[in-house]
Amino acid sequence: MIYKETGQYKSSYKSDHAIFPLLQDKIAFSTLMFIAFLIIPFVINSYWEKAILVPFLIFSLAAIGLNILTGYCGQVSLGTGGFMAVGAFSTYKIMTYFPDMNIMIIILISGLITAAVGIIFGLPSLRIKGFYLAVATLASQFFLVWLFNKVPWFYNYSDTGQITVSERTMFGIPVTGAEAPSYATYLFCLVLVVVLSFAAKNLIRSKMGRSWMAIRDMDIAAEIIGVPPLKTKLSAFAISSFYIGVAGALYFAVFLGAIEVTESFDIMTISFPVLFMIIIGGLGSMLGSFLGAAFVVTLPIGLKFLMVDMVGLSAVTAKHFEITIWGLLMIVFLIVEPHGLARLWSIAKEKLRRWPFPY
Amino acid sequence: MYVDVLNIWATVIAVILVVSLALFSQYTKTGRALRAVADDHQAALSVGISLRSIWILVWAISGFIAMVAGIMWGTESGVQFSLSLIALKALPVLILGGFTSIPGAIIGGLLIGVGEKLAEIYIGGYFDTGALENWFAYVMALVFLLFRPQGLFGDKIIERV
Repeated sequence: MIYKETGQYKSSYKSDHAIFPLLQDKIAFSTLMFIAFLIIPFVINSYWEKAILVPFLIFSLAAIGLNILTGYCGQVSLGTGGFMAVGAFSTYKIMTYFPDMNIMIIILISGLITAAVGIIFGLPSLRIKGFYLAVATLASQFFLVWLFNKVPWFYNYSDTGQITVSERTMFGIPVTGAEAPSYATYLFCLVLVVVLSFAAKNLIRSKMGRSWMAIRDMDIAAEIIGVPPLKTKLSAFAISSFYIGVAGALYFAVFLGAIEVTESFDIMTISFPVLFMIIIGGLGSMLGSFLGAAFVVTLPIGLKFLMVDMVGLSAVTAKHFEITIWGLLMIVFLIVEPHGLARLWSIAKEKLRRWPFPY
Repeated sequence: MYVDVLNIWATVIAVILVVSLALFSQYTKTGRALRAVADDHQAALSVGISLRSIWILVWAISGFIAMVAGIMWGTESGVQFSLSLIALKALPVLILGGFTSIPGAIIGGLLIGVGEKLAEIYIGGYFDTGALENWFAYVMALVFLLFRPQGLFGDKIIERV
């Protein structure tokens, strides 16, 4: 009876439409926000920032983006790495052309540029779907990475082909570059993630989100009842790419600082892991994007701890085992729980609701 | 002109495999069952095809052919982890030719293989950057699908609600 909803009456439309309708959810969410905003910034150190928290925040943003496209609108995409690269490189170009612009505005503009690119690569989705579309989106992955690697204008004709971030401040505190303190980069990502996830959650509950889901469930039927496929699919591509672009911009500017496009935005380092995140976390679930990102970011660390520090394998062997375990986990997850971690959480809530009674 | 013995063998093996696969799927009872399952699982079940044995067979065949391709590619250019990325290029070939069609796979493979190299030479020269073959196959498949969503020889897509 921990998760008890009895006695919580909804007496207005407003409370009926609340994002967290139950008191328990409200308390849990407020506690989480309290810890995230007021406790973690004071105790964070460089290891937690670089290895866990900042990558988790950035990848949850990317996972939300892909989840909007794949989980809510049903358009499978393997081009995440390419779109993140667009976000990163537009941040870099805007930074060099407008040295005085605020970093927050730069990152949001990069998101908009990525959205425009996403619309272009989303055009095939009007004619093809499913597996065919997944292959077509591979084109964006390979083409964009090639473009940023081979056209010198994008990396300002530097000799190495690397792009490096310069220092930018928010309220006088550096958030990008090598001098940025851990709490500043963390808070910067956190604010963006919280604001953008609320925006996504509300978009999904709006008319737009409902038309995405209609297209996902059966596109012809949706078209017949008056959901315009062109507008719906392209808006899903645009908004998903916006989120992925912002994630890419943060990945470059705040997290890595210096990147080389073929390594950092490879299909094996970005596109497939982000797809794993939403499959493991749960397709079509906001919570799932976060759970999946947390899982994918912490699993290698946990496995490394287990295999290298506890068992004493060499780092290379452990790396190979890691790849194998990844594959195994994917298969097991798809067979045992196709709806992912988010579904496990809702089963747990059901159990908590009637605990200690069996039914 | 110097031709590697390995290349000749690879060609011979590929031709044998393709022909036997085409004959197998077209003329044998099992081959027909495979195509029936691809068409409609439930209908295939209802006429008495055992889905379980078909799955085992299908995965075994695909694994075997991938192994042959892997061995030949590995002897030619070495084995490393990125070999798995080369397999991705089989996807644009497949959708260009159209699923459910073995001639489609052959012609799609030729189109993409030759197109890639020609683009590298004729278009790549203008860009002064090269390495177009990283993405050319995918973009070609993408543009192609825009005009013919079912691929070259694929069955016509009919949708009902």
